[in-house]
Amino acid sequence: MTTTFGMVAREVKDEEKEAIKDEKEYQVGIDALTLAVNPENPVTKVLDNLTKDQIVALFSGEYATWKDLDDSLPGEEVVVITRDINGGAHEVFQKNIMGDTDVKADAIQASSMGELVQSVIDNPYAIGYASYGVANQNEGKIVTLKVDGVEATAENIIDGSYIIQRPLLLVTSGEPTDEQQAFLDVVLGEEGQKTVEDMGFIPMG
Amino acid sequence: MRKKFADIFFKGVIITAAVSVSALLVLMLIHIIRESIPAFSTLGAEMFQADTKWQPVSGTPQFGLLPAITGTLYVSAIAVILALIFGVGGALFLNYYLPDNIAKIFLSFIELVAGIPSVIFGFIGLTVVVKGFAKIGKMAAGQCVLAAGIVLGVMLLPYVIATCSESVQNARKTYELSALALGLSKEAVLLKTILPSIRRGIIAAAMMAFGRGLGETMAVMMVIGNSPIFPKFFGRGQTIPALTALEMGSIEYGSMHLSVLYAANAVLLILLFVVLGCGHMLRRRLDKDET
Repeated sequence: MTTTFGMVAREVKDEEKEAIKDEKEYQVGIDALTLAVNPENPVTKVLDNLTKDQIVALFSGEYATWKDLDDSLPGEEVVVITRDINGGAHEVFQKNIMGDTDVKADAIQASSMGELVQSVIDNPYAIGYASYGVANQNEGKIVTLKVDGVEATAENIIDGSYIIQRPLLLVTSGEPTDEQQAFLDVVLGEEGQKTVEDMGFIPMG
Repeated sequence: MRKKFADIFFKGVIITAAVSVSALLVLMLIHIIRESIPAFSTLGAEMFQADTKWQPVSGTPQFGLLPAITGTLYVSAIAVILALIFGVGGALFLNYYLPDNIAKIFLSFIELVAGIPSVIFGFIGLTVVVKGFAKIGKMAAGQCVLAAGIVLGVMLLPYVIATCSESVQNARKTYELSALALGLSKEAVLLKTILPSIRRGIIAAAMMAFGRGLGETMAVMMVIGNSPIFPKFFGRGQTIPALTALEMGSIEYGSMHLSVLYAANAVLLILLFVVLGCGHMLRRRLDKDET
């Protein structure tokens, strides 16, 4: 054996479950992506909610300007900011929102979540997905919109009604030994869950 | 006898070092080429067609490298031009108009700039240059090829200044006294004799800077927007190193995607060889002209 626990930030695929002997998962927390815009973006005065179809249209380039979203908005380009397209965060967004539609080619790809949020803070016409924790850290500097009428709060994320989310898992093979169980107890216990919350994720409890 | 032994010993060390460094380079080259074979054999010329897009993880994956290749060249060219203009000027100013000891202090500060981690340049680029472009230029987003060129240009400045400074010092030793003795003014000496005589140094600096610019990753990645489209001066773009760094992290091992990234870097190496080769030939031709 080389590794006891693997950290996975998405659902474990069926073929992966088969490949691991006696696969077991422990959910440590949840990560969610919020749809963030600049507070100066006039859209914040018109809408506080985007439907899934509107989000797809904004990110795919079907709505080239904000005017296409709502007639009262200025005809300024929708500046789409994503993380790297083949990374974990984008995979969650692609799967839960975009489906088979590709994000437009001239979207800006940020190399980190911090960079993505900084770009939204600096650009009044930008839209991007900020992780729940980073969005909370920057409250006031960015505004998050509801998705299909559901706000990204801890309750809505835990009960699953807020859809852009992914599980944070520890994956292991076989029954844990005493030492491993002790580790799990800390991670899944009060102390570990507090750390999960401090890191900007949603704890399970 | 002891001296002879020491000679043989150090000769051995030097030869071992030289051979292992060359072997390491060859190994890396072989690795890059071997990993890119699947991409070249399955996709081949399709990677270099202008209408092939870069959509590596789409439902219908496409692997077009041309936008990133042109982006790389475009950004480096802008950066080198900017770095040359300010770098040559800076080198002349340091050596001609500043007292020696002050110039030395300036020069060491400039060399210090070369040691700053590129992520710092990237962050300043993002919060100052990119933001400035969006505000002043009334652009939808400040991320653009020119912003990347400016940030990269500043990063290349120390190299240009250091190389040119050396050439200026050499040229001064050779020509200055004779030129002044002929009654030329300080500015005439500078423009008519020093500047032409450091041509070779300038070309060397340009080539070195271009080579470094082609490979710069982090700072460019943070300000260019990383959109896999053909670069425009005030538009977004993508460079090969930035593309590689951005996508390498979460790539599927053994996939076509990974192989194409290796292919892209093989192309980058070829570009580097061509650029350095051209620079070398240019210098040799100038050498001939001067003798």
